[in-house]
Formats: sequence, structure tokens, C-alpha cells
Amino acid sequence: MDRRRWLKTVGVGALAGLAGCSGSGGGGGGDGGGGGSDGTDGGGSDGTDGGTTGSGGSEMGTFTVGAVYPFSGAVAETGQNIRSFLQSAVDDVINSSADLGPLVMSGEEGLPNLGANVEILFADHRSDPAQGRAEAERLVQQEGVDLLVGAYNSSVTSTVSQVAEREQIPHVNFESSSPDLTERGLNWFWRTGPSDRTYTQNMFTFFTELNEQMDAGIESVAIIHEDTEFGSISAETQENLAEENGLEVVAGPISYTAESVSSLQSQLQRIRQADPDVLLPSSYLRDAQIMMNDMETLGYSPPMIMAQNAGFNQPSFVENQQISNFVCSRSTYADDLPENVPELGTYNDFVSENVGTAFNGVYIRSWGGFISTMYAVNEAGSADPSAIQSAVDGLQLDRLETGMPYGIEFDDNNQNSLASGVLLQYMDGSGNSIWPFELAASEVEYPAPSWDER
Amino acid sequence: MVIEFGLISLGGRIGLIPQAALTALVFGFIYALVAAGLALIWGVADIVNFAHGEYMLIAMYVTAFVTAGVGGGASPLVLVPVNAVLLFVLGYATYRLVISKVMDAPMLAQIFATFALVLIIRYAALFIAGPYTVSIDNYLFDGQTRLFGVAVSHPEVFTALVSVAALGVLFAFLRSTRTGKAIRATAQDREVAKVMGIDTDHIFGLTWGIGLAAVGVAGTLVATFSPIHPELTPTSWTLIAFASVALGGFGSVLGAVAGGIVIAFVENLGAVLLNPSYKELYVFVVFIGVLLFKPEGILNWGES
Repeated sequence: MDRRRWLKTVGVGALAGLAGCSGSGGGGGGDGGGGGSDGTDGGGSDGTDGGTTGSGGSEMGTFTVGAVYPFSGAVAETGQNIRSFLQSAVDDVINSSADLGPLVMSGEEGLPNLGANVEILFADHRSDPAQGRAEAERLVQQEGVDLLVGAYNSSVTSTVSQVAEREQIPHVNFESSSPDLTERGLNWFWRTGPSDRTYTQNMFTFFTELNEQMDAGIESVAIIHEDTEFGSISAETQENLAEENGLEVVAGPISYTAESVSSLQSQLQRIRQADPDVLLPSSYLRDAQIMMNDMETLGYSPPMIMAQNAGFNQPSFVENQQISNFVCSRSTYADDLPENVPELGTYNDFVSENVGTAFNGVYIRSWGGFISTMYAVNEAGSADPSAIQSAVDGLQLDRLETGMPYGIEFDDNNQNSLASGVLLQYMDGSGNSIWPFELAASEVEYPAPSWDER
Repeated sequence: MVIEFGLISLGGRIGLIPQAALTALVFGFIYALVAAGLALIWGVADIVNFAHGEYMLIAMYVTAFVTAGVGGGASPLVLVPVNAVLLFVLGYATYRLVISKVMDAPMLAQIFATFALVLIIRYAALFIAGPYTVSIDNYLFDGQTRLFGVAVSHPEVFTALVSVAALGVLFAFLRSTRTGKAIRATAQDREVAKVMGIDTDHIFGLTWGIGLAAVGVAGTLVATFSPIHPELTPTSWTLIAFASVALGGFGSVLGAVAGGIVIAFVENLGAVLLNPSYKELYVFVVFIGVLLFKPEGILNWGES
């Protein structure tokens, strides 16, 4: 084979490889999981990512938690922030005494029933399910962690939970929202946050109530989503629930690859032609920004955009008011929620001071879910996995005790049956609660004005 | 799973074609400039630069940081020549320090060398800028024009116009200057060129410099409308560049330009006329079709 032909062959192969990686990658995540590896940075674990915290007292033992999250790749920004929130939960709440009222674990130091401080070991899965599995195995088999948390991306949470099930180590997830995760009959996996089915049902209940209260006339939706597990399952759930709730899907689901997208104008043209009352996007950050920029270019503004969190909930999206104003999203936290639940404001002030970042719909679930899990471990009184399993199974906490807008009580599938969402609308850089109406401090702006009227 | 290509209701979508064609034209020229640099290096030095998107990323980050205030909030327009020169220097240095060492090495070594550049640049960007998505605002040409039912974003259309101008300069340089002719001669037969007195080593360095200067111009202006991410941005643009080069004919600059435009038209017209979820599939169907029926590329006239 001559040199030029060989180069062509390699080039085509590499192109196909790059395309393949971008198409599937690591799969997605429940709540904005990532696009996966990029095809160039594969490789084994280096075992060096991650810090530890912890422990202080010389006579105290150590309870070690393994935290598997995306610290590089498509959703690294979110993973890095989650790390900061978990680190703060360990340093400022669990291993220290903090004056945070009803929040569990805040009034004492360490895990008194175990006579131990908490140490957390972080590992980067790069939004890659295989990498997540490898890191979970390393944390359990080599680092000897007592419990696993993570992994944000639903697809990675799935593989990590399989390791936990095999090793019979508890694995508690706070952020992933794919409904399937808690429908696999696992005994060592729990989810403290809501699933996409809960969140999406929240949206459709809101549409129904809005029609009743404001005569909004919402009859149709369009669905657009990135094509990893997160976006695909979100879109499928939305399509099914639209039908169940009597709304017509007039465009979509339209999928795209978040990793390689450079423009969404042609997809948006199709949606504009279908003229839906509500657009339902499931996107990561970069593609959410491209989508909104392209909508502005086209001058297309549907009466309502109701996003499935993820990229639409990231600070850099919200802060760009030009594109974020009037966008609605499901979440578990809204900036004005403390007006009706002051304790959440206290918690938010606390983390803002210690972490440097305020709560959003993801970080409050990580922070509160982790602290609640440590409460269950302390209640177990032992690091024995079976004891922790029983304690987590029997966990019952009210919403203020968890640090989140909802309490915790697990059903037979180990899904938190009390988990619920709030809906918010962005205005001037803030996410304001618009539903449930009894908790909401703001009224929804519907329909959203055209771009020229903003 | 329902696969719907929507041909039956095609009639109702005809009205979407003008906007899709305009979008395709704008993005086609941008794709063309990004791909031209890759094709030039490939055609002359016979090396596949897998780090092409990463060099574009450098120009984008420089633009983002300088316009954000580090350089007194300079306009991205000022950075077009700055990044062109910067990327030229980086390209020349890359050739001298890295690529020249593997020019006569086994081809796998050449591939690994550019993959190493991918990793070094990408993770340096991750280390320096963090895993955050960065956007540029307050751009001089912000806004859009909507007329007769079609709309264009000012930053995008400006980028396309500059891309056309840059491509014009590139072709004029290759066709009309002594150095350009030397580059073309080297591409055609490096041994004969050397015998004729051309310093081919210097020409390879210049080629790397010019190829990356082209992507530097493109990156500077693409940054004004496309969010920048240290890992997603290079992947996205490298894919486009490779697909354009492969469509147009490996190593052909003019072919790469045509390839970029064809890709933009196929993906945009495919998305409005057929099922938009398969936008990328249409590109790769055309790509495979070209490989099968015209493997030399749609516009490979043998020039570089």
C-alpha cells in the first residue's frame, strides 16, 4: 500500500472513529449527563484525580465515600461544581458543627455513632460508562471505600450501580434522573432525587393547571433533544406523557448530537413551521446556547420554552439574560423559593459562602442528598454494608431535614417517593418559581414576548 | 422506533428552503475555510493533522480572553490578523519542533505525533481555562437581519464573508506568488522540487503556518457566535474539516472548499426536507457515496 493510500485509509478510519465517538460516546445522563468520550483521550484510570478530605481527629476512625463524577468531558463544569458542594458538605457540615437548624448532621462533628470522620475520594468518569465502571471498581477494590455516590450521568450511574450491586456496597445517587435506574430491581442502589417521569409529569400538570387558571390554551408541544440517554429518554417520556395528557406533539422528537452540533437553525425552522404552544428541549449547555442564539437569529419565539433542566440550568446560561429571559425549566430549586421556605435561604447562604456558588437544581440535590445519606450511615451505627443498607431502606426525613425542597422515604424500588420538582422561569438572571402554585413566589410570563419586544 | 423521512409532506416544506439555503451558504463558507487549512497541510506535507480543531480552539480562546477584557476589551476584528500571525507562528514552530522530526518516520509515528498535539493542546486548555463553556458578547456585529422571511445572524454572515476573502487570498497566494508556486511544486513532487532548488523543509513549515493561519482566522470569528468548550469545540470542527476534506478529495484545497459547502447544504436541506434527526446521517450517506463512486473526491483536479 503506498503512502498516500495508507494516509487516506487511516484518515477515513479516524473520521469514522471520531464520528462514532461523537455519536454515542458515553451516553447520556439523567440530568444533563454528558456526551461521552471524545475519541482521543481514552485510557485507563490514572487513579490520581481527586482529592480527599477529611478527617481530623487522631482517635477518630474514617468512613470513606467514593464519588464518581465527570470532571472532564462535556459536562465537566457541572461535575467540578458538584465536587465543590460535596467537599463542602464533608468539611463544613459533617466533619464540623454548623448552625443550620433542622438540617441533619449539622449539629455534631463526624459520624458519632461510628466514631468516625468522613473522607471522600473523587474519581473522574469523563461521562463514559466504561470509565465509570472502572473507577467504581478501583474505588471499591483498591481504595476500600465504604459507600459509592454519583455519577450524575444516568448512563454512568447505571454501570457504577452494577459494580455496587456485585460488590454489595451501597450506592446512593442524587442527580441522575433516568426513570429506568430504579426499575432494575437492585438492592444496593437508591435515588434521592426525582426521575424524569416525575419532572415531566410536573410539567404537564402545570400546563393543565395553567389552562384552567389562565385560559392559556396550551394544546400542542414540540420536542427537541440531544441524542444521548439523557435526551432520548427525556424525549420519550415527554412524548408519552403528552399523549396521556391530551396534548399533540406537532414536531419531533427531533434529535441532534450535542458534541458535534454547530447550528440548529434548520431543526428550529421545522419547529417554527409546526407552531407548537410549548417547546420542550433537553439539552446540555453548549447546545442550549446554540439553540437560543439560533432562535434569536430566526426571530422565532414560541409562547413557552419548558426545558428539562441540564444546560438550561447552568449558571453561564442563566447569566446570559439575552437568551435566558422567559425560558422555563424544571428544577429542584428556584432563587425565590426561600421567600416561602426561609430555611432553604439559610442553606443557600451557607453554601454560597463556603462554596462560592449558589444552589441550582442540581447542586442542592447533591448537597442535601449527600448529607441525608451520611445521616443514614450514622443511624446504621456501623460501616457494615448490610447495616447501612437497612438504615438507608428505612430512612425517613422531612424536607427541611434533608436540606432540599423535599423529604426522603424510599419505595420498594429504592426511589425516593417524596422527591418532586419545581418549575421556574428565568428573568434578569434569576430562576423564579412558578409552580407548584402554592410554593411559587412569581407568576409565569405567558406567552413569552417576541424577540423584538424584549 | 418510527423512522419517518417525511417525503409525503415534502410540499409543505418547500417554503423552508430559502432560509435553509442561506444558512447553508453562510456555514458552507465557514466550513470551507476551516477545511482548507487541513487540506493544504495534508496535500503538501502528506500528514494528517488531527489537532486541527485544537489549533482553532487556541484562536477562539485568545479571542474570548482578549475581548473579555484582558486586552482592554478589544474587538474580535482586531484579533483576526493577530490570530492569523499567532497561528502561523505556532504552525511553523509545530513543524520545526515536532513534525519535522517525524517526516521520515513510520506513518504511525506521524499519526501519534498529531494525536499527541491533540491531547497537549486540549488538556492545556482544560487546565488553563477550566471545563467551562465560554461565550463572547458585546460583539461589534451583534444582531441579525430578517428580510423577506429569511434571517441571517450578523456575526455568522460576517464570518462567512471574511472566510470568502481569506480563501481568495489563499488561492491568490498559491497561484500567483513565488512561494505559492513552490508550495504547489512541493505538493506535486517533493523530490523534484528539492532538486530544482526549493527548500522543501522550509516550504513544509510555511505550509503548516499558512494552514493554521487559515484556521486561526476562522476560529477568531467563529468564536463570536459559537460557544467555546475545551473538548467539544475541537471535536465538532475537526469532524467537519475531515468530512469536507474527504468529500472534496484528500489533499485538494479547492476540493475541501467545495466539500465544506456541500456538507452545509446537505445537512441543512436534509434537515428541512427530510427528518431533521438524521441531519448528520445525510452527510455521511453522501460521504460514503463519494468514496464509493468518486473516491478521488468531488473536485479533485490534482492541485493543492
